[in-house]
Amino acid sequence: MRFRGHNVRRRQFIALLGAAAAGWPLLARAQAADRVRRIGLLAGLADTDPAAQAEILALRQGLRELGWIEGRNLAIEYRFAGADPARLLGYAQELAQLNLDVVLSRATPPTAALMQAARNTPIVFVVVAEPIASGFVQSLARPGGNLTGFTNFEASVGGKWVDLLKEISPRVARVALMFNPKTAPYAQAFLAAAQAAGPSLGTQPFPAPVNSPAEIEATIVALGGQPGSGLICITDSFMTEHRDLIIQLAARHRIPAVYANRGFAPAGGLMSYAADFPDLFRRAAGYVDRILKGAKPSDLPVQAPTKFELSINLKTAMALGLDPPAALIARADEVIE
Amino acid sequence: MATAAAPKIRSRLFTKYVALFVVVVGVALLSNGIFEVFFYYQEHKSSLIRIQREQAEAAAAKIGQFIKEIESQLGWTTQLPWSAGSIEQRRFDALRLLRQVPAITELAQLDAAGKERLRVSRLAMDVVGSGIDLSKEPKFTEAVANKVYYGPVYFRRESEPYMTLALAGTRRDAGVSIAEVNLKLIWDVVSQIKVGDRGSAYVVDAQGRLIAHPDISLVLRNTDMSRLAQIRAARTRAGEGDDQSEPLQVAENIQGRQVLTAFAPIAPLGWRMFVELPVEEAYASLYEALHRLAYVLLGALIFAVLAGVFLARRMVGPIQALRAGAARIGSGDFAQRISIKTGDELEGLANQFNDVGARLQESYAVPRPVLWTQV
Repeated sequence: MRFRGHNVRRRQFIALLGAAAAGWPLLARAQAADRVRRIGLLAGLADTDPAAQAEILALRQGLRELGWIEGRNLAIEYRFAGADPARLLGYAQELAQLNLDVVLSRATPPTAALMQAARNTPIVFVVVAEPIASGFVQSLARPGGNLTGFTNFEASVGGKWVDLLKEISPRVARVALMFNPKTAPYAQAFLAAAQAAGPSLGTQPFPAPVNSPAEIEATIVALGGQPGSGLICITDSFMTEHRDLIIQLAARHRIPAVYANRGFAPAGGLMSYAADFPDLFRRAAGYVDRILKGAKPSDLPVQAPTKFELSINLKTAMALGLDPPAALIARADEVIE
Repeated sequence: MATAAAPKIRSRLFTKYVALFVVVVGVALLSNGIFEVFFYYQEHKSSLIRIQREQAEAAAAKIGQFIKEIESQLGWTTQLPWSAGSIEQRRFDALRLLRQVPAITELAQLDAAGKERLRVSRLAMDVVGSGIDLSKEPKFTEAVANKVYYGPVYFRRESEPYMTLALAGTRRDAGVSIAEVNLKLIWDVVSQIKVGDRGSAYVVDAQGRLIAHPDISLVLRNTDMSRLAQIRAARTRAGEGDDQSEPLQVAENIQGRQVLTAFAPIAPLGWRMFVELPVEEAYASLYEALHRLAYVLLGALIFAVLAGVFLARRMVGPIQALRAGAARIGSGDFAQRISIKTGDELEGLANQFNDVGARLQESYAVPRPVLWTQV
């Protein structure tokens, strides 16, 4: 009896040992593969915004191409704050407390909010115009802190907007560069580029800072009273919130306008020239991947956009009595008829 | 004396047997194992190098293709002489080219005298007829002399890798087209190459300057790689035009680690694509094989000892019994019988001892003449 019992115990022990030896690496590997990494996204948009939808789609696609699949090895916490600063701060603190592996921030205000709230979480910003002036990074080549990301513009584009406005509406002589100094403090750089380009194009760009819908209206009404006026709109979250108002006012007062966001042309804006935002999100997926694999944001240089898109709304052009040259239309990435 | 000598003799035979067994098994296994590991390592290493070279070639082809594509697209803009076509038409063509080739951020067109006539950009306003004199610039002079000019890599806003690519038309009066090309695609290609677990790929230019590396900060620091042995070897090889010789396979990389490395030239640019794998990782499977061999050897040795003990016992036991029996017979105990049932020569020997004993017993059993014994 005792002998058998001993034997059984020994057999069990051997079996256990064998199972442990065989199972150990398998178990370890399975754990590594199944470990779900958690990232976050904070955007100053409404989640119903078609632009936000397209950008998230691009981000997910970019992540999938790198082997990060939502629900399998990746979980994404989305927070859409709209243009509400209080909600933005609340969400930023919420994301900071979740101890995520990486957080993406869309545009300047969410990035600033996150930077304050999450000092140790790697942050990848997207659609930020002036990361150095905004204090997010020390230099583009070596960000230095826990932030890196993708800019959506170079200041020189200010000249390009004047150029395009002049091309679609040659009689434009004075151009207002409308921006909100609170939400788009970086607009000065664009203004400088626009003013540098002005004389050779026979125009005088001037700043038109606005802080409220009433000021937007006052600016556009004033432009309407002066023949040969044009409008450049720095489309941050504030302007995006008042998009329909701006487009309606521009149509009513017959002001040719160029917007810094592709979403404005389909909504009735005359034209837009801007970086391909979904493309930026697709590329941001590459940085998320590298950070999840151990890279430090301080070692990843801030990248500039490579793809710019021109959208023209022909209906709006016709309503304004403009006849865009064929060469301009042929160049457009999107023509809305 | 006999009893004192006995264990000594027994143990000597016993250990001899066991040792012989262990040595035979051990030597056979060890030599086999060493041969296998040696050849396995050679094959493993050459297959690693082959994979690296293939990876380098594929990546180099991708980058070469990227540059050639831009060149051929740019070629369209240098076909017409400046006397033909309007500047508006040229501007339209240039803007279409920008739309066609996302990597070109800016395009300038120079007339045959080296004056800039047109500049279009994604990032800034277009300029027509600036008349800026670029006739002394290498991007003009070298393009005119060699038809094509690849400028050094530079960094726009400190972080975006760019190169100037200039192309001259086949006709002298067609002038020169100068494109500022964004090289980020090359960074993407390089960061996506997967070499083992901790291997990497990078690109150096003809002078050995780092152009692309998964660690972008190394590139932005403008790292000179030309002091590395593998880069020097690749450069001298290119100088001799000898592609057959075996390249350097193990060298120190920029971080000072020993790596297994291979490279491929990037055709039109004179750049080189390097692929490297840390030696520890390359050797890892060799160590694993050695470990395996050690385990097998240990197991075999234990087995050989056990088998040796068992066989030696089977051998030495009967001999012991024989010796004891023989000793007893010698001391006059003729009734003693040795019982050995091994079914071999030892049993025969025991039987013969028994026969001898029996005969001695018989001869002593016959009554002997008294006188004889008394004499």
